[in-house]
Amino acid sequence: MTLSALGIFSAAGAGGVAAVPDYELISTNLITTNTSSVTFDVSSLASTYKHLQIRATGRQSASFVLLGVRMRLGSPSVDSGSNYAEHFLKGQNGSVTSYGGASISAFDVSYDTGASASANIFGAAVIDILDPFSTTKNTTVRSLAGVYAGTGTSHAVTLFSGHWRNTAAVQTIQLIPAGSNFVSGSRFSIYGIKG
Amino acid sequence: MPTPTYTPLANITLGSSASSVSFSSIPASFRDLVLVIDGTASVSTNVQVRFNGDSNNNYLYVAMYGNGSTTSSFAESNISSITQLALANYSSNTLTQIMDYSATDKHKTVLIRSNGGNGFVQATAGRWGSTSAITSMVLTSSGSGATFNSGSNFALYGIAS
Repeated sequence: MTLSALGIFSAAGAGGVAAVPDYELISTNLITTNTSSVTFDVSSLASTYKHLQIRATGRQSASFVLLGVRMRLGSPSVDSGSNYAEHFLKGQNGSVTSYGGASISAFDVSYDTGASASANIFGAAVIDILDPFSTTKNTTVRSLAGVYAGTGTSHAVTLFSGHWRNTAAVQTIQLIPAGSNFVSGSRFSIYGIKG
Repeated sequence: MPTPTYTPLANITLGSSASSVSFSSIPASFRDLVLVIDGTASVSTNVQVRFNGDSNNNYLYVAMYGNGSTTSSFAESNISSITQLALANYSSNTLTQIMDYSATDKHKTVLIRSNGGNGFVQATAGRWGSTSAITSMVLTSSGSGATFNSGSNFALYGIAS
């Protein structure tokens, strides 16, 4: 027996399906020209949302196959000091590795492809920023990211955890490419989750 | 103005065993899709996904896995589907992010987090090497004669941008 959901979507197209109201799109930044960083101003969101999520697909200009994406937070100015920590668990090239760093000036959240990857291949990430507007807790970020751009070290799947050692409510989120610029076609969407 | 999203598109709970589950006529009006599976199977098997009826060797993935005593990572390329998770007579679940599914300038990258009731966790990044917008997907089991058991649930959501 094969079961199909065929036909359910006609109801959705007719407006017959209600959206869950507690998860909302706030904005999307679709890159159309080389961009050295992407910044979200979330200073007006504290009274509306408990958590934030960034969904991204990215590609960078530098001549590598895989390149990292790092995050900084701010309140309101982006904090470029050595006030972050990170850990990640990575599957790549037949092995699982773990890494941790402290007192760093940004933390890793994703992989993008670079100019040496075949055309049309983008890295992807779903990044959760948990309780960013709390004023009693440091802010923790987690993400699932990865891409298969080729064999060997040209593929990776990673669980990232980042930490900003500051109890200020987050007002600014910045994503920084390791390889010069995000290129056209990259996109970064931010969502709010009510609490 | 914020836009409510995470829109339920389809929710299938099997009333009897099934060898495959498909979603068709997926509208292009969202940015991403989220597929949630929670279920069991008649015998140990893997859940595999194909898009738009493409059964050619256009899929690739890398995964990492832990079962409480060992970890491993493995990758496959030029295969005919992406493996999502292992199912058996214990409940397992998976959440799959299908990114930019309707874009025609990108291959389709999927991010998968799956958990097995017998004690494993797995994360996977996969790619369908096609720039076609995804309009359908079919989930099958790899094991010979394996079926998804009654009660297994398959839910699909759309994420706006």
